[in-house]
Amino acid sequence: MHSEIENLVLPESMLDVSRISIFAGRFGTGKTEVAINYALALTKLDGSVTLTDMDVVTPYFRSRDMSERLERKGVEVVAPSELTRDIHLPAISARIWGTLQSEDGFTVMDVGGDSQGARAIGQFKALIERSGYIMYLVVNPFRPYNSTLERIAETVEDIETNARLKTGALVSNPNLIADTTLQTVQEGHRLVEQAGEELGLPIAFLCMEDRLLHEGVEDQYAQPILPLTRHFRPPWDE
Amino acid sequence: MAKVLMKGNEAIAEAAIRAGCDGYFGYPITPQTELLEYMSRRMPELGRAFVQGESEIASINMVLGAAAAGKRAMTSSSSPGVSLKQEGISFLAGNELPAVIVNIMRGGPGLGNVQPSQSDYFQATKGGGHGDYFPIVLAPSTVQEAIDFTILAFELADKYRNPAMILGDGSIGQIMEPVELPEVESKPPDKPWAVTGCKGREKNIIRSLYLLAGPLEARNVILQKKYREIEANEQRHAEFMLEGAEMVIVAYGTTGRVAQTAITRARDEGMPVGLFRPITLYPYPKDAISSLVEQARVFLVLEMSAGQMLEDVELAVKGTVPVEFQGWLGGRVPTPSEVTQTIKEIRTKYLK
Repeated sequence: MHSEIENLVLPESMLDVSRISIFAGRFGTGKTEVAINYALALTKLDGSVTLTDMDVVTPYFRSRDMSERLERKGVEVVAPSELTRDIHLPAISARIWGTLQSEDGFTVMDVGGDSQGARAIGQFKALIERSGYIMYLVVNPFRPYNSTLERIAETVEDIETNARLKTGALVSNPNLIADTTLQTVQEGHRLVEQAGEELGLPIAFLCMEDRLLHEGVEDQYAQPILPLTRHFRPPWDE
Repeated sequence: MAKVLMKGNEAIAEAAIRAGCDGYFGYPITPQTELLEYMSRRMPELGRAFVQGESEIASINMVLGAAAAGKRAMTSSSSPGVSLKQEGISFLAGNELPAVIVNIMRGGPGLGNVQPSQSDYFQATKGGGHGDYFPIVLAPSTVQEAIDFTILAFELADKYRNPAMILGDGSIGQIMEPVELPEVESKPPDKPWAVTGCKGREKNIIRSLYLLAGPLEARNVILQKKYREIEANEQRHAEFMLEGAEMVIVAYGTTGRVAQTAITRARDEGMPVGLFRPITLYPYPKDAISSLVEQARVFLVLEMSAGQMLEDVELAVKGTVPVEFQGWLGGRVPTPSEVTQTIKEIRTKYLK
């Protein structure tokens, strides 16, 4: 069974949090799960937490689909209105302006995949820069177009051009969902580390599903670990 | 083979590439668009043809052209888009041209919504377009099956010179799962009938136009003979916990998978229930269903539709055993607990 999110605390080395944390990257690398888990972890700190759903790309499995659960746990979700939930519209919420102009609390931005997704945040460049931000590039080397150093380098360039913002760090999210083992994480993370070195980008943290986090696992990695609780499940696995 | 994590739509695209697909022709529509997106990137990298047509109708006719030239060609869409392609699919069948069509079904009728559905079963398996014909229809229930069946679809299409369809619901297109991609490309057979330029040989003529009744009847007799051959050779299905099952659930695709979870739970509570999951929807695996009437005391058909495959089950069971049905409409996906509840009710009605 999955450990409850209440037990989740950010490692000390992750406590230096920018007001705005942006999760961008290739399509299907786990940005939404990471952003949700990160936002929930931030609720343990002082200050309000807002998660903005910037996804204009994906029709299913978006932050907005989890808004009730997140609101219950103290994360405000800024997403397109309920009316448009089941329509695949490339829309974002007008409330994003207010969220970005606010000077308090933390804002986590869940960005849609690829350059098309990144383009949706480009228009907020000035506001985001004024508030102070870090843009994370989420990498899962088991996904297509994520599995080689060249592809990851391409992604960084592609996302930065469209988001009009700079990548601050990589987030390593090596996984095969239910088939993930400790070995999967080890192998995948090695490639992300190489990419980080090549690109001159630090790895902010390594994501691992909570079921894998046995005693001593954390000691094997140089980076802090963000424990992930899976929020999205297929219909047959309710 | 190392595992990778793929979305159903991407997996179908990559499988088609490995099956030697020479040309992809399509038009975007949710929840299938990732397939076209993936192709738009990969096909040019490999020097193969990717064309976003000006419409679904244009795209299916480009498929027809490529297939006539002997190429492995495909298109993909979702329900309303596949309705637009029906004329072209009928032409593919009439011309005896192999091609692969993917339908990642969404809620209907009309514009409907972008949620998962299985309400295009009749359209897919009973012809869909005009005239007496059947496309071969394969229904994946996992992303791995989406890969395996796409490759199989290209092979069967070539083997029978007939359109083949992958019929998945929105969940199959959108879900992400770990998969293994085959390393070896599937090789198309020789196509001496293709229109490739007739230097040094007799002209090849590909047509579905036969002006007189006699020749068109003769043509239809040939086609029907082929469909009987497909029905005799290509029925496929999967079974889950059928041993000792007095209640047989028949469900395909995502519904089959939801049923599988429900059946596992029901078995834990000692209920004698199992799953018959059709893989080919045309040809329907009716022989295997017919042989289950000895064992089953009741059939339960589950579909994300108002009851379309239900008719094929009833035809195979021929009134010998009761056939019950539960459907979900408008893009709603059942949960395993709903199905477990239905299993309990049916059990009380028939097995006590």
